[in-house]
Amino acid sequence: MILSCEHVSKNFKDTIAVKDVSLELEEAESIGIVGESGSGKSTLANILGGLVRPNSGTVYFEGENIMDMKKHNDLNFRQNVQFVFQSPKESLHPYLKVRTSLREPFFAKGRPRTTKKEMDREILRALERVQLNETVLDKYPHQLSGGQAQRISIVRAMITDPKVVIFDEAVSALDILVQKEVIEILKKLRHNIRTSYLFITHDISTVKSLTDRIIVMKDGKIVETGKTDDILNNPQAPYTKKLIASAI
Amino acid sequence: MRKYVFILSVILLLIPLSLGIVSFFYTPYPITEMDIDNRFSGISKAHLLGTDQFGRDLLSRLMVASRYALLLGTVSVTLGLCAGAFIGVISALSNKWISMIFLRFIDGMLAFPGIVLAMMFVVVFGDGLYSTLIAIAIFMIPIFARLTYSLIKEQQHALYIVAAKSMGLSTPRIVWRHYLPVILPRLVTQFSASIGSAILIESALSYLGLGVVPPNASFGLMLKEAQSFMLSYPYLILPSGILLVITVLGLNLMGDTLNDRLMKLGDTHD
Ligand SMILES: Nc1ncnc2c1ncn2[C@@H]1O[C@H](COP(=O)(O)OP(=O)(O)OP(=O)(O)O)[C@@H](O)[C@H]1O
Ligand SMILES: [Mg+2]
Repeated sequence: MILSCEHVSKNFKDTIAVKDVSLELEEAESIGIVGESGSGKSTLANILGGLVRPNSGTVYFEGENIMDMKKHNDLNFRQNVQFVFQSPKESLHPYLKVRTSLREPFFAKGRPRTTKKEMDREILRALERVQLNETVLDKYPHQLSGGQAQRISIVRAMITDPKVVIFDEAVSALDILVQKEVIEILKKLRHNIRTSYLFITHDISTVKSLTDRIIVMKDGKIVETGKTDDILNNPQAPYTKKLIASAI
Repeated sequence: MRKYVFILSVILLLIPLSLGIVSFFYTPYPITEMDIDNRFSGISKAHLLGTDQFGRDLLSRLMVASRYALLLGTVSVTLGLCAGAFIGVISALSNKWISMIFLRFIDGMLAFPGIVLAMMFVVVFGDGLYSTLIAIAIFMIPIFARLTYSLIKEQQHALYIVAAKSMGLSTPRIVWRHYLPVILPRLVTQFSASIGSAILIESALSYLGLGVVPPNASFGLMLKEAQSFMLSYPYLILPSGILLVITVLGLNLMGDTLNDRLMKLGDTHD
């Protein structure tokens, strides 16, 4: 078990965003978290990734409570859980060239120093895996297409081989064809590395080919969880049925 | 249009700048050299801008005054910028309590009119170049601290900052690499305009007899001396008055237009 949480809850003033959620992500496993807008998916993801502190409950990384971590393990956690956000262009620094942005992960606190040459070699290799030409390296985010920008974000999240990558609506902002492309790329990436994935989406159809398990959320709570095939072919909760119907 | 304003500001600034720079190597006369036979000489071949009540060459004094104004303005505002930006970053990124204490402190300082603060300082620590410089720097600190604070707060929830944090970068690196390129243009804009106000404060202090002291030359001092002879030799006030206006106007116009230009030079680190 690589990342898990027990009974986490989070409210923002009067809004209950996440209520008593527990889940476990195994090594090399891929989970989809599905639910309508406002169901608390992003909040849960941010809690799991340590970006948001829950009001109650505990998050464990490699079995250790992330709140109690000593410095060394905290750095280890920070480096090994990476995010890809919904708006690819906004998550890249507007004034930094792609090359500069892609070197940043190598400067994470506590990482052994890498030479620029080694970084660039890794970057080129990663670009190839997401089918991008190296000409993008000298561009600014505003000069990229949405699909290119999202692939850059994926490279940035995965270039240092994290153990967990959290995708928060990573393909929702892209148009259908580009969505397909990115999903294909992600599928290929999955076969290569023993990374665990958390795919968050309101559109169940975008994750059905990417995940082993699906967790369905509504109003901050888990309403159903199961193997992807079972959820798709034999949903139990009426809410899940509705989600599947609306995705087709 | 903006392009022409920028060019205009550069041209305006080149006047005091070239005068000030040349003054390091050359002035037509030593600035304290008196020529009693040639008092109030008016424009002549020997004295291009005439002489003052002691027969000192006005052009030479103006050149040295430009040098002091620009040097003092730049150095004091740079000090204020560095200290202010540092305080601003700390108050924006620390926890609630530290942040609140810093903000109260900044607001307290901002509540004082700058010139009063500077006067108090100079009165307490003595007049002269260095205390004027420090006084102006202190006056600039809260301005830059406030600006930096609000610029950082503005960006704090931007996705690219969240992304930088989630990557596990250290706070100094996030500030340097991720905040700075975005907030730098605004700081530089403020920097340019602040040099203008620093020069005005310096002039005001000198005018009040608190800043640069005779027989040295500064805009404020020259204005004050000219004022005594306002009725008989009114044109004496023109050289320092006009150059002061040109300098401050140039700096303010530059500040206004610099912002847009700097935005384009985003990637400052490659
Ligand atoms: N920073 C915040 N401050 C206040 N309320 C928030 C904040 N973040 C989320 N919420 C609220 O918490 C609830 C859950 O939000 P969350 O973003 O987790 O939902 P989501 O499932 O990711 O939705 P979407 O599909 O639209 O991204 C919503 O009602 C939202 O308004
Ligand atoms: Mg969301």
